[in-house]
Amino acid sequence: MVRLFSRIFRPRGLDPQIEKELQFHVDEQADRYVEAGLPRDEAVRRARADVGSIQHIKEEVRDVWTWRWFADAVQDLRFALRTYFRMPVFAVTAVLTLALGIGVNTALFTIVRQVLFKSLPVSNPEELVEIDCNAGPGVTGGRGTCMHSYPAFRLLSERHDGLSGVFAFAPVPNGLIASFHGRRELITGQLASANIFDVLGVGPAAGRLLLGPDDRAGAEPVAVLSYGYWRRAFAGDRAVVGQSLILDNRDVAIVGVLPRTFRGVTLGEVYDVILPLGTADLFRAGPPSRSGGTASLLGSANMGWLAFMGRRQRGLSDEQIATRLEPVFKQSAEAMIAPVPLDVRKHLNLTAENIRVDVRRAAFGGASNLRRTLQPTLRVLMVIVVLVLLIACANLAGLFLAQALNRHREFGLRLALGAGRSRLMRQLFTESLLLAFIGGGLGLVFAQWIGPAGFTLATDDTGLRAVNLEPDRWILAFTAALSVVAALVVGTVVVLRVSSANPQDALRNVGVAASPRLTKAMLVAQIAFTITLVGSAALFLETLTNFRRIDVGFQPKELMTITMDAGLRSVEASRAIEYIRHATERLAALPGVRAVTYSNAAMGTGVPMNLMVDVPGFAGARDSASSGEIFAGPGFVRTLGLTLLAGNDFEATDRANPGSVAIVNESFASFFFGTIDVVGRTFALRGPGNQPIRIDGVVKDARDRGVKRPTQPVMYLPFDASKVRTVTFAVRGENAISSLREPIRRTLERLDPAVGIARMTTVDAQFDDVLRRERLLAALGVVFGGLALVLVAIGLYGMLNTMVVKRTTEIGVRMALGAARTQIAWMIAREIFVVVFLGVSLGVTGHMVAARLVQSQLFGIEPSDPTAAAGAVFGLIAVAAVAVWAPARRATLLDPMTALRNE
Amino acid sequence: MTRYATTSSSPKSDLLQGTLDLLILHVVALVPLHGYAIGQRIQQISKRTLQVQQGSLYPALHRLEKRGLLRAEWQTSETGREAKFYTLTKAGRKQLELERTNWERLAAGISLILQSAE
Repeated sequence: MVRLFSRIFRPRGLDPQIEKELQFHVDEQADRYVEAGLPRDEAVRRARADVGSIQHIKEEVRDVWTWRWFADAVQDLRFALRTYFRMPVFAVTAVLTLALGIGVNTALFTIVRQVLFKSLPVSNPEELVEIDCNAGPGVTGGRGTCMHSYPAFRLLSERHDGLSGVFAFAPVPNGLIASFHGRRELITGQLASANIFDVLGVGPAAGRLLLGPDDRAGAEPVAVLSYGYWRRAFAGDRAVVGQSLILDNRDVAIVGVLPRTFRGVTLGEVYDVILPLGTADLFRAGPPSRSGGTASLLGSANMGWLAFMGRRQRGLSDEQIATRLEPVFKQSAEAMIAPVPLDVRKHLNLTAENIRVDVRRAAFGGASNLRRTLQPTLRVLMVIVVLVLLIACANLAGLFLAQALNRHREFGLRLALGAGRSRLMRQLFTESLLLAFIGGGLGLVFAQWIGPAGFTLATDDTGLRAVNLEPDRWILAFTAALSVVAALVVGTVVVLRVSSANPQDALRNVGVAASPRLTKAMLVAQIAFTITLVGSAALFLETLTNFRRIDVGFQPKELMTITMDAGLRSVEASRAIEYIRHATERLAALPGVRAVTYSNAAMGTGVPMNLMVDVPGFAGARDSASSGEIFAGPGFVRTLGLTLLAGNDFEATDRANPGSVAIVNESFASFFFGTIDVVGRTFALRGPGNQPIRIDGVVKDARDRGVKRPTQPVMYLPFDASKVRTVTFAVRGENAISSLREPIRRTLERLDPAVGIARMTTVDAQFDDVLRRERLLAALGVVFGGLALVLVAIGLYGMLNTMVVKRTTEIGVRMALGAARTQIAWMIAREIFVVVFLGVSLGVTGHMVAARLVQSQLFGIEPSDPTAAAGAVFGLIAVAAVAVWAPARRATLLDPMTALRNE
Repeated sequence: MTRYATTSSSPKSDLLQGTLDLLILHVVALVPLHGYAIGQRIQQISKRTLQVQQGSLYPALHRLEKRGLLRAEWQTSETGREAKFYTLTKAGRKQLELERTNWERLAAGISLILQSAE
């Protein structure tokens, strides 16, 4: 390949011709000298001297005939390849180091680009805006009168001044049960106004997308499939268009399939089916109404459940559009509060006056939950991977320097033979570029593997499905740029060292860099970055430990939670009540099961609802009287292992009169009553006609919302299956809860064909899931920190070893003159003290900077906590001691006579 | 003694390079010559005033060959060795005339200036 290029760009056999021509010149000149009376050999010598550097003339002549730099580059490349083939260990180490550094950076860049910078895959994404409104301060519940309700959307879609189109969407909260030819599956669904794809500018991959008539009340329900779901569940069969799919026990016609590139309007949230907004009441239950049953979402003006997006008209700013939209939102709010009597409005501070509309660019899917939650983690990861790359570069530069010292003679020789210094530098840059590109290529391969793996660790499979991590030209450009930068950094360091080489010294082999100052500088840098990295890793480890150490307030071991799917919501109340009763009995009868209960939220996943309460004698602000509400079945305290501070657990008999008793947590008791001695006291849910509720028990605070979120006042009310249909069973086993998974599944699925399992997990696994980011950071920190320490050890060892070899004679002389072995060992060790000391001081400074950058991901430990830095320093010193031991020992064991004869 | 385009790494000025080219073309115009003879001839004709460094001569020869002003052939020399002989081409002859005129104009101009300064 290389040879082919050189043939194209240089006439064949040029070099021998020039040599022959010059040889002729020398011969002729020598003849003259012989004629003048000089002896032959003297004549030849003089003739050669007259000509000067043949090498140089050759280069000049070659210059005439070839495209010089290209020919040189080809030659350099060939030379570089030959050099590396002669030292494979060095080359492989260097390439792998670079591949690691570049690989992790490329992988992270791919994720960052997808999560933080990628536009939505629609036409002119920069025109898309999210429209939000705020009711202003002083209104309970934040949004107050500014409801994103369906009537508000209807008004907005009639009057959207400043926007060329506007659409509304909302997820189907608990998913849908899809049945197709007898196969049952829980899928995700999104409700969207029928014009969504017109506004976005997205066309179908098969069939058609939503049309206006689909949205009308009473229209036949239709569904559009996402490309991923179509491939997954229907194997991409076009014949499914026109067939019907059963969603939550209703026939829905499949009308079309979305294109592959469209992954939803919110990054990280992909939905299997898109349903017209007009069918919302079929698939998304409204709040319970007083008449029993549920209220219509479409008809209700005070249910805010939609998100609005639109396409901006050219030339309008976000603020201009917001100003134009404000009257529309005010009108909606006024219509909504109109039926409320004036005095009540005043009392509740219900007003449309303060409504502000917020319009912001949506091209990057700003509403994305994935982006919001991943952003801080990604920032921290960036810090880590940049450190890894810096360490890799410092290490590589050190390796190159050591190699350059070994090749000192070669460089000197080439300089002496008349090679230009610039040529030599270019050679060195070519060598480092070659390595960097091989390393970069490997890094790219490496990134293909660690990118998705890392992303899965940071989120889960759904997150991965929502983004595209395949490399594109941006990723390639990024990797190439990184490789070039790495090559330049490494190359510059080596060139600095080599260009000071004196050809004569090199040839005479004296004074070969007794103090390789640059090597030491690289080691200092490497140690500094390593301390920074290991220090952060220590902080992450401590954070993970702190989370694990939290008292969650219940017993997470041997506990399994099983959340039932929407099937339970679609059956009549009596059937649901029966199901829950039978399921509880049968689960409790399984061998190995100690206790069973149920609630409307899996423990540790959240508090479903916050309600205002009225507590007699509560001294705080009326607006602050809010408490979490969880509906719990009999044996709740016992089964979950909550600590009962006073009173009783729920018993089956409480069901006879639901709504009259409650168990509250410690926070509730002390917040509202100022004491935990509250059994027998009463309170009421705020609202007309609500009966007083008697407190029957007090439990210690539990992390109902997961370990990462603080506890809050919570009231546990008896589960009333005639109203609440979101059911999660909790099963406590004797031991080995995982082995109960299959029996539990079979028991629950056999009871009623209409009801299935949505999610089943042990609480331990769920906790691990919540801490997956912390684990990821700790794991990466430990792995990379460990690697960095090993690299430092190798670097120190290499430096000292070279030094001992170089100073063998000196050591011999000292020993011959009576120096003690300890003195010799000290002399060797002293060399690295300065290096380690400088590296550690810089590293501690770096650690303090990095710790502040990663602060958002820490828990229970201050970024300034000295133990992390101390741990890193201690680890490094231990590693340094090990690395120093062998060369120092070798020096002390030298036989003075052998050492002296070494010269 | 005048030295043309001396050390190896110093860049050559256009004037000197052009002058050397002119001298080479002139010397070769009479009879085909090899590189060594060209150098010798320039020294002889200039009565040893001009000495040509090999470091400039050979690149200059190759440059002229590449521009098609000289043609090169391997022949046996008078000493019986294989030598590369350079011959003036048609284009070379034209170039020689052109450069000779230029040089004379330039030389005349320079001497005018030098005389008037006296």
